[in-house]
Amino acid sequence: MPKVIYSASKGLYQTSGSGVEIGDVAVIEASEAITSTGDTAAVAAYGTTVLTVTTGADLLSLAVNTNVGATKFIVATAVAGECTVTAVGKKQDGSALGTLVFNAVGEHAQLISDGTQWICVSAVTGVEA
Amino acid sequence: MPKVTISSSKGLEQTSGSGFSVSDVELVRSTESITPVSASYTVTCIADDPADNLDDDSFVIYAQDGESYGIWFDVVGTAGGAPPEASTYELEVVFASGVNAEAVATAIKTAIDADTGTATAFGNMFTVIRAVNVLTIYVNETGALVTSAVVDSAAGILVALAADGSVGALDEDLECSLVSVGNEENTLNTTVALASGASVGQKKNIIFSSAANGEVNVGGALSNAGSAAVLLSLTTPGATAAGAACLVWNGSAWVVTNTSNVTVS
Repeated sequence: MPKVIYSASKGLYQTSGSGVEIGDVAVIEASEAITSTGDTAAVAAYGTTVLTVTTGADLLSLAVNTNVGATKFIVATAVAGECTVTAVGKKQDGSALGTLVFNAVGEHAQLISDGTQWICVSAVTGVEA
Repeated sequence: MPKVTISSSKGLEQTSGSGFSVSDVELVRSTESITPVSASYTVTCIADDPADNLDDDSFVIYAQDGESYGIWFDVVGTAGGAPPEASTYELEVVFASGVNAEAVATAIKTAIDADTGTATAFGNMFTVIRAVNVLTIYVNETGALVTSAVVDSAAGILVALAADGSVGALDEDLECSLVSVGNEENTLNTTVALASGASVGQKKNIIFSSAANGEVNVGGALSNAGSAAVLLSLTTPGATAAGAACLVWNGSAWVVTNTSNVTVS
């Protein structure tokens, strides 16, 4: 069985064994930056989304990811209004999650998919709603 | 130095530089799905035939630790009264001569449910679900049965081991495990094991799904807020209950970094 290894010196190569090993560098997953302008839009259902909320009350949506174990991280880096992200799932206390509300710089939420819904595993107080 | 980039337009490519990045596509995790169930027996009852009744017939099932539990029948108005099969614990089930199969099953369930006088009593060791004349007798203790034998001397009553309680273990090498519950009764709990990680920094996400049919636990070497722990549990009842825990292996324990609706103990 092949084992796939990445190292900064050798790049990508295969050896005997199994697994995928990323050595001496970070794995950078897909990310997007959304500057909300009052429009309704979708955020990617994977990776990281960096929100810039320019003004007013914006509405974004996070679709269900059917891949079990998919993760999502959303963080607000600039906020001049309020951005609401609709998401189907569970809050950290087990109750139903309907929206994530970002209205301050640094607010963030981390979610994991069970294939049918998002389960929020970390959020700044007040983000879950 | 090569830099590896995976993108939807170019696929896998190496360029100068260093790093490993995935852009505009999802990095799909390695996952597994596991549905642990408690040990259980299936008992298919028959009607009592007055011409060849079930009096003094019996069967023996076992608790997780191997202790034997004999159930024997005392048909009203017939001679006898001694359990024919040897067992550590015995339970008499009384019913009238000639009752139908459903009545026999009901009598067994009633007798087991009512026997709660001691910690090792039938009612505390087993949970019985009845569907007409078929009983599913769950073993309340978690873990694989020490013995998988079934002793059956009740002519016509079919007793079989349905599940031996070997719920297996999570694959620690996979990044995500989805754990559901397969029991029929919400008083039954199951525990699956999580082995140690292989590499420092190894991540493990565990998703718990539906505790409506019993508490589901994951046992392993854990570290939570600086203290040692051994169990992750989803205890919230409800068909739509869900929870999750994010872990990172530190070389000696799985550090619990984030949880949702999960208790750590």
